[in-house]
Amino acid sequence: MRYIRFIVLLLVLSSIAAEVNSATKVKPLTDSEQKLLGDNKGLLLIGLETSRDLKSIHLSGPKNIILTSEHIKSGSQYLLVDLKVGIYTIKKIRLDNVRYLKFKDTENWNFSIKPGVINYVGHFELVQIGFFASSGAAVELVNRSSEALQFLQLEYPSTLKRNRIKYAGPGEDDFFDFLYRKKMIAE
Amino acid sequence: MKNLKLVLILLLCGYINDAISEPIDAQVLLTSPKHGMVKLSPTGEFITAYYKNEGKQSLDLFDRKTKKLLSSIDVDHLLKLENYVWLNQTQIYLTIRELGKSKPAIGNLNPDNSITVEFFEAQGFLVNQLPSQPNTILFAKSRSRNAPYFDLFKIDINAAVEGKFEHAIKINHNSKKITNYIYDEVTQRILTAEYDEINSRTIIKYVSVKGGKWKTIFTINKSNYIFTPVSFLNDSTLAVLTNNGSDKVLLRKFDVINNAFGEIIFQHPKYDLSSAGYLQNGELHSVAYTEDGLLKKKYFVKAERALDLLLNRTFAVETFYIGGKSVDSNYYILFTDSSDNPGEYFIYDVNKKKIERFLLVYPELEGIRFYPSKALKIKTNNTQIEAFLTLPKSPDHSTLLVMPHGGPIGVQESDQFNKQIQYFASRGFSVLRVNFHGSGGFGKAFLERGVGQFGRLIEEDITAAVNQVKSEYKFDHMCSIGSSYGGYSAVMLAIKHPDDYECVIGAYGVYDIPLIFNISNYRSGESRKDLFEKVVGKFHDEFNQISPVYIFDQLKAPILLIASHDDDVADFEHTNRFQYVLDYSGHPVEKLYYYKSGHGAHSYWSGYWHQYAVVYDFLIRTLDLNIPDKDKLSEASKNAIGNDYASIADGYYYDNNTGKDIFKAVSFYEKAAKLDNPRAFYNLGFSYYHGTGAEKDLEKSVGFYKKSASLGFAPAYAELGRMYMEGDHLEQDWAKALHNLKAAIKIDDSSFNKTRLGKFYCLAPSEYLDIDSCIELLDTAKHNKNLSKDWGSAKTYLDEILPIIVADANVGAAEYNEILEFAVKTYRATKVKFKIKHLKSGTFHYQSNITNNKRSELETVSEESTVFINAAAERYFGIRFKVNPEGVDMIGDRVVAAARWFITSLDGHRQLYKSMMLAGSPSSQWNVILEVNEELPVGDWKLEVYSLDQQLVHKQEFKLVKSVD
Repeated sequence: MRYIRFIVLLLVLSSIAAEVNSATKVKPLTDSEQKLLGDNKGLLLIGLETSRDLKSIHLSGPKNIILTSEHIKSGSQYLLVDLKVGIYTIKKIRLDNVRYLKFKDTENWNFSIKPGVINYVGHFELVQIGFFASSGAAVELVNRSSEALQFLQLEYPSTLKRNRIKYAGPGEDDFFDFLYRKKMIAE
Repeated sequence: MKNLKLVLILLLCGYINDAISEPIDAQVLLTSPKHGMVKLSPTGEFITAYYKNEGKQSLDLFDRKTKKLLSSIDVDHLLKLENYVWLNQTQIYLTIRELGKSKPAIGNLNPDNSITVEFFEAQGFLVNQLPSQPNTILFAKSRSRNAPYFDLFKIDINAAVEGKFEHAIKINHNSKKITNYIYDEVTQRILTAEYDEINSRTIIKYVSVKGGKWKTIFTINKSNYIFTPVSFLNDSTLAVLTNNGSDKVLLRKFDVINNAFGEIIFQHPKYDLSSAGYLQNGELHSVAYTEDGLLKKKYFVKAERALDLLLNRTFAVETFYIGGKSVDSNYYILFTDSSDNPGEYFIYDVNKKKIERFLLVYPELEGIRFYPSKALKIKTNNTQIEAFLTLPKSPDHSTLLVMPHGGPIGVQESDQFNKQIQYFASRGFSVLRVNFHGSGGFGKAFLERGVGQFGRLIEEDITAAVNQVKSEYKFDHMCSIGSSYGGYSAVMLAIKHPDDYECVIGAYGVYDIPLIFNISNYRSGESRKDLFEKVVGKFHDEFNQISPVYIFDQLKAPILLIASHDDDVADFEHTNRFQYVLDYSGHPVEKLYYYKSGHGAHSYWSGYWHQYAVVYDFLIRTLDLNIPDKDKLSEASKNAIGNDYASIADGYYYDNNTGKDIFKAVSFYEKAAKLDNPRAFYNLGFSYYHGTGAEKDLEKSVGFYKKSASLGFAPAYAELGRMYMEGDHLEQDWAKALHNLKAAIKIDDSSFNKTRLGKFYCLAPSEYLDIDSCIELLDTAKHNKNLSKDWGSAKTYLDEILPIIVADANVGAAEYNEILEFAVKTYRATKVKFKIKHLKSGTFHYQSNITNNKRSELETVSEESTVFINAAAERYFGIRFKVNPEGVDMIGDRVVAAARWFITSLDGHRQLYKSMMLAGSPSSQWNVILEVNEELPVGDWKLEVYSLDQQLVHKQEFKLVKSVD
């Protein structure tokens, strides 16, 4: 069993109005959407493995972003969106209308979006522990590059052909570059 | 020396006899120990032993003289006995785990030798039984519920049980964070170790039993050395196990006042000491270390030293451990195990010089011949390392499995009984294990030589051992196999020696070393770098050159990769990357991926049966070996290999932890059936009956069921009995039905088999009809609930068969009254007769009502009797109604009904599809519906609803047709 790595207490919003921001909601791309990325945009790929549905993921960066999708259901899935280049931080996860997780250790939740490539930032894993007032969650951003690649090959083959995939998660990882050198990812 | 002659009485024949060496059944070998925690009462009059087997666990009390069982404390299956200790001749302190919490309890020995157990009123734990102060214990009492902090009391045992701490002596101490205590009898001090998370250091402290402030003895910084307090020798001197200033862990004095290490008390020239013990008078009792893979104890007390000598002379091969003794030292509990002995307990009578075998740890392994290993000394460049070679007898595939251990740093390969080694040795494989540089137990220098030696010195050590073994023994094949680091090492050995290794099995392995440093935001990065570097060495660019993922093209041997998706020690990503590059390059790679087996720790033994069977099958196929001829195998061994294949099939069939593939499942059941595996024949019968994994073929199905039954498999008899009873495919034959149903019960007296025979007695024609037997057998409340799984399914089965009995029982009024009475009692009916009102019939769907958070409601979609199968929509068909019981409706009235669905398919075949009991209040909404899906057969459906007095209160017909898009 995967042990609990980092537990954060679920906070409860005092009211919806307490969540004030001017964030932009973005929608996941489909494989057929031809996005012109140019010099100032890159693609963000994030894997999600959660034990419950999530309402939204809040990023701060060059532009505050809310990744919201009816597809963030419990289980395993991915979000692929286009973002302005720069350093982003996963600031907050909304579970529902009243409960959310806020990350104060921003250094553990930073990633960089580079232009013209698919930036895989890792898999956001969340396991809810307990219920209601005493609930918390075990969260982690895990490097599952090969799974992410296999996902793109299956679901986003055109996007993967048009854009190189780069690892943009915690630490440095040469795996994708190695595969390109060995021509194990079709370009 | 004459008086040292030992009288050996073997009450049990032990594990080894003249049995032929053949494959051992994994389902017998890979199980939990049945006996453990064997202890003498203080006077030696009694022996207690913990027993655990499926559905039963108990603490058993034996008479030492006669070895007879006197009484047992039965432990509920929801609880776990963690440990126990005799406090005095009549009281046993028990630590019982319930819902994740350890609870203290007392077992009081009654005059009739029964034991009454009572939980303590307070939460906490026993620190020491204070042998010098009778009936008094040192008890750590929880300060508050769920708080991990304690108050320490010297308290009368009974007062502690009753929670009366008012008159107890409280040992005041000023720390709020102490959670563990060790009592030192010599100085009457309490020792503790406190971990300082902020500074990553451990602080050893003590306080007098009279109370006062904790005094710090020593602080161990994170990168320092081992410092384990053993016992105070006097007020200022502590005996510690340490490797400060020495290569090996040794026993040394430590001056607590001046914080200085003193003279060495004992050291072993070759091995680290793992433990040491002192007597209450401060005399050194023993030290322990691991030599040639076996735990060795050196005794310093005269009596034990003499006993050890005597035992060593008498049992040249075995290693004996003293497990306990009576206060007067007249009786000892001894334990022994070895590479070919799973463990057994003995009683030693000092005065009579008599040793008697008492209990086997695994009684079910009695009579099985196991495979001893040879401890080898391997010469490497400038040192010597230890290795263990286990050789098979018959069969012998002339195949060496090189099995590096995990870790690799600080882990030591043992030569004690190893189930995995026995599994492979019994199937004809030789196994070599090596304590390479980096392994624990051989001192600091030996350990540190292995750091950063991934793919280098470690594999050179293993290869040195392989070469030495190959110079003495001849093998036709060689494969490498390992878990964790062993998985990595197995791959690297095959990469470095491509001509030597014909196959590789890598389980839960690390294949991308740089990935260790960037696996996640919390488990990698600077904070964890030090930890990784103590194993892998300093991060450097050449890591790729020793990572299988990046040098995949140097691997020539076929490989089986085993991993689990939830492994957070060697993340699944390692294996998936390796598989990706191997697949891409067309390398032969097979995979076995579990969903939830962590770092190779299966939740159930069946996980190991499955994993080892997959490995065995891989070895046989890859090396093109022949499994032993079934005619030359004993029944047990034939079943052993048959069960291997059946285990693999189960993995594919049930989809509980691996991917489901019922066609592969059937192919492996067929392999198992070739070895006369009765369960495999049954499962084949089931697959051909239902058309799952094989084309529906009732002739074949019946053939398989009959073969399974002939091999003594109870479910096959039960199924054949049902088919004869119901005329299902077989011509209805009540005599044959009875024969088969009775045969099933004779083999397996399970609840399910009983209910099935019960049904027979209620529905059979007059010559077999037996209502009393029917009700007796159907009454699941009287069955043994300890077989809970079977009991639950029998209860479900009763819900299915009672409607049939209600509808079809063709008996006289008096006899039916008995059935009615049973049904009323079982389903707690208060009203029998009822009519149906407010009937709605047709197609329905559930309408979720999210706005007010109410549960979903069933709404009518169509009132037509024709129902269309439409895969896109979630629909149900059937009836909704309310019941109108006879007489006045009372709040709390409970009505019970029986319902059954029949289908007449397009070929005119009519069969019962489903039957069920319904129970509820007259005010409830009643539904009898079926979900419309592609699996439902099209045709004419008929629903019948009966009251318990056999009245058909309603019938409804539907036509199920495919949608026309």
